[in-house]
Amino acid sequence: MLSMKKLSVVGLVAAAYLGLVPSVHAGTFSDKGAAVLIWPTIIVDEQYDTVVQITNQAAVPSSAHCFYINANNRCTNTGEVCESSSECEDGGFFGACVPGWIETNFDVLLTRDQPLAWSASEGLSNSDLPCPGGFGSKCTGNGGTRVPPVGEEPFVGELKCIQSDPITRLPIPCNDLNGAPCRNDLEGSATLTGVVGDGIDPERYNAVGLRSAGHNNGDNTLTIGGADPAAAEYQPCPEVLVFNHMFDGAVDPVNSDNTFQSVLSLVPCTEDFLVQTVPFVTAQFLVYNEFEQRFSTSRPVQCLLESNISNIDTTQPDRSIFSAAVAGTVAGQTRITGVGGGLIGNGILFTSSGPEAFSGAGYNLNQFADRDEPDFIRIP
Amino acid sequence: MRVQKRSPWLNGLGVVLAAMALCGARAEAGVSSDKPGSIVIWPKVIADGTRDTLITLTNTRNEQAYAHCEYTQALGLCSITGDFCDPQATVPGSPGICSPVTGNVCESQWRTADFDVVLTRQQPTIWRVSTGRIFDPFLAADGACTDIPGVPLRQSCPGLFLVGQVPPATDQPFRGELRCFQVAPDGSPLPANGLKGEATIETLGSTQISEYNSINVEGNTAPTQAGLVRLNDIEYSACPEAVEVTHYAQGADDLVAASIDPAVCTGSGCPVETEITLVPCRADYINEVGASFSTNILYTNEFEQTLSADNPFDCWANFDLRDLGFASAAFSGSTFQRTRIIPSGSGLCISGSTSLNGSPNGPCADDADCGTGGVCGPVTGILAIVEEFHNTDASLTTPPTVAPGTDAANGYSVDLGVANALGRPGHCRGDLTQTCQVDGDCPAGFCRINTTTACTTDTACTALDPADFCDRCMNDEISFEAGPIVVQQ
Repeated sequence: MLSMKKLSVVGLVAAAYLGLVPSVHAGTFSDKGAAVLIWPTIIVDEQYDTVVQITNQAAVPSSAHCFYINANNRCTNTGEVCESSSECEDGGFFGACVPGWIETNFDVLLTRDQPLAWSASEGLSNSDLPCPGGFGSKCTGNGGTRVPPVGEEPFVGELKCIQSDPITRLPIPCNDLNGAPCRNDLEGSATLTGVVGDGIDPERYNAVGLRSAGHNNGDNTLTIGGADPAAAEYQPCPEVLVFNHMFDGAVDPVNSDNTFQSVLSLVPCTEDFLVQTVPFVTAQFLVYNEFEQRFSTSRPVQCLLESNISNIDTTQPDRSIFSAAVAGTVAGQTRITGVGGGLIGNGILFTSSGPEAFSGAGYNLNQFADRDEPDFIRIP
Repeated sequence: MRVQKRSPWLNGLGVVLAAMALCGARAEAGVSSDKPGSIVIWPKVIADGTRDTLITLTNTRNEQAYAHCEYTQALGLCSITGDFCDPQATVPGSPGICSPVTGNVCESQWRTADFDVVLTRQQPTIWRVSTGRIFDPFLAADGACTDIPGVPLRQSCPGLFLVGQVPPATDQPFRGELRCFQVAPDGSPLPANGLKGEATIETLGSTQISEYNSINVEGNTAPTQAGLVRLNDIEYSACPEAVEVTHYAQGADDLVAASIDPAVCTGSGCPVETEITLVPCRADYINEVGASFSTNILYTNEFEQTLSADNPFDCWANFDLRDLGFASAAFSGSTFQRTRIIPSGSGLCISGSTSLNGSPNGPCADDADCGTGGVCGPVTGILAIVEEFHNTDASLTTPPTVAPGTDAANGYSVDLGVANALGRPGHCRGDLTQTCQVDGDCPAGFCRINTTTACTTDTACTALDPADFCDRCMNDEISFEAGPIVVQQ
């Protein structure tokens, strides 16, 4: 039996060892059931639609309160969707093209183990529900689900779903230590699907999940991470997003007629749906090429950043630190840190042999370390 | 003499911390596709003349990283003709089937080839599986790789590549997996959790690509046994209890393609085919033995209907949903389904000359089933990737005029509630029906080499053989040997 003195010594050694082990366990997951799902990229336009999938991992019914966020830029003078201020001409005067943030919310009720999917352009009406209940229905359990189509076309935005009580539409109160375990039942993915020439271009990524931190008071403020474990209801957003990509314009080593282009989508962890405050986070980018050379830039993320990577730091892609012409190598690693809030995102890699011949592939970002500051989602 | 007063609080803290360090704190589930790890697994790697794969591997830490990597070729060989074949192919005339010569059957193989990679701080790197990569310091930094003609074709790309070269996948056509282990410069496993990767599978002669994240296993403490990494949530994180993927049901039509452009789907409806790739967590690269695994596959459609199938696989499995005989979307009416894959069976012979099915490395219930000196370990955990192929009228014509659209995604880990954690629990040596988290949860175990010697600590076993150790709470294991890594000057 170790004496108390020896145990204290061992304990000090253990404390030193544990203190030296880096804390790298960030809390967002794209491959485990979660209590909040975020799809950072939802696109509907004349060439693309998005197939949203959500699955109940549990053997009991689950309910989710969901929010579409329309992040289309809009002209300040006409209110029309725009990509640049040059599109905001009205009567000889130009308005400004500014980021927008319009939220609509709806509910999804899932039966046990059920996968459910819809297209963002059409949503899910009662007649589309697999298990609406009622006479002639194969199964019940989806009653109460009504997914609207996205508010307009074109649409660029995100989707967020929170596992919730189907009546209150708020997170379910829970405590892992008191016999009311918190649930992490939701899985999801999105497939941006386009038709290019005679073929289909599917770009699939898994939704990013926030898992429960072990307790929830069931109110309308979701506390994500933070230094106070008693306050955190969901595991923290990452301190750093690790984004592996090909530099824009790099030649594809497999099909040398093709070149690469990467698209990055970032959304803030903190969002206030109650007072409709447009979140604002500054993303800092550290870019490494295969020569261990490092570049950096920063860019504000106001509601949503969805950009070719070579347009993040400039309007002239060939001069971008994200272009192969500047970086010099095919592959790169970009570490993204949010200032003023956490960030969540996904990437899409495109290969192209010309303007009419291209396709993409979606994938998830990696992460490193936990944010010390909490993030919040406030819902009505 | 001054009397030092002891702080009861500090003593208590010391006891707690000592217990954690000595007994091994059970870490949170650390097998994931969105955090760096110490073992990086790419389950689906293709270089077969119609598709090729770009592997990216990145060091996410601020110190140099060393990786020991193993390609595993999972294509079989036809027993008479010696052609490459697909062990999962069963339909005569289908790709990968052996020619109809008497006795010509597809025999599973598990051929490995290893190499090392050195990455500087924060360095990403990339190579093409069919060509590998050769370091060329004089190559222009213009964002393009250069082919080096020869058989096989090789390639150089701009960037540091301190180890000199990565070989091409040894056998081509190649269909299998790749694993990289973070190691110290002397080749010993290093749980520094600095590595991550992606795989981009490309269809040759087209722009179609699929990309998925590597599956990364976090390490907690350095392994105690030379050449053996234990995925037990103490040394390295444990594999999940089950995995699942959600995808288009077999033969279901793409949900939106016909709405975007009806002309491309007029004849076919644009059906989507799905492939699921499974790899076992357990691997023995020292003895070059692949893990057999049995699965219980449950699939649930949108109508809450669940059916199941039991399937055994050998070392690597890549199957189309049609291979499992799942009800098609036309029959069920469901466009999407969730497929859950659960490891099944009582045990797996991890050493010995036989098993319950007569083959080494087969199923077992106890050590005796594995023959003299055999060890019956727990069934292996499983990891999964899903890939979908979106067809149009043009991709289904003969010959096709476009390639199917492809996309890939990582599988989800599932907690079945056995241990109330995402990582799968261990099983006690000698009684695999008993689950465990740590050795103390099991009664006395047995030595791994001197299999009939009971033990509670390694000392009882090392007294007989310095290389022996005591098995009590067993979980997935990966055994490999890496020599010192040479950095090219």
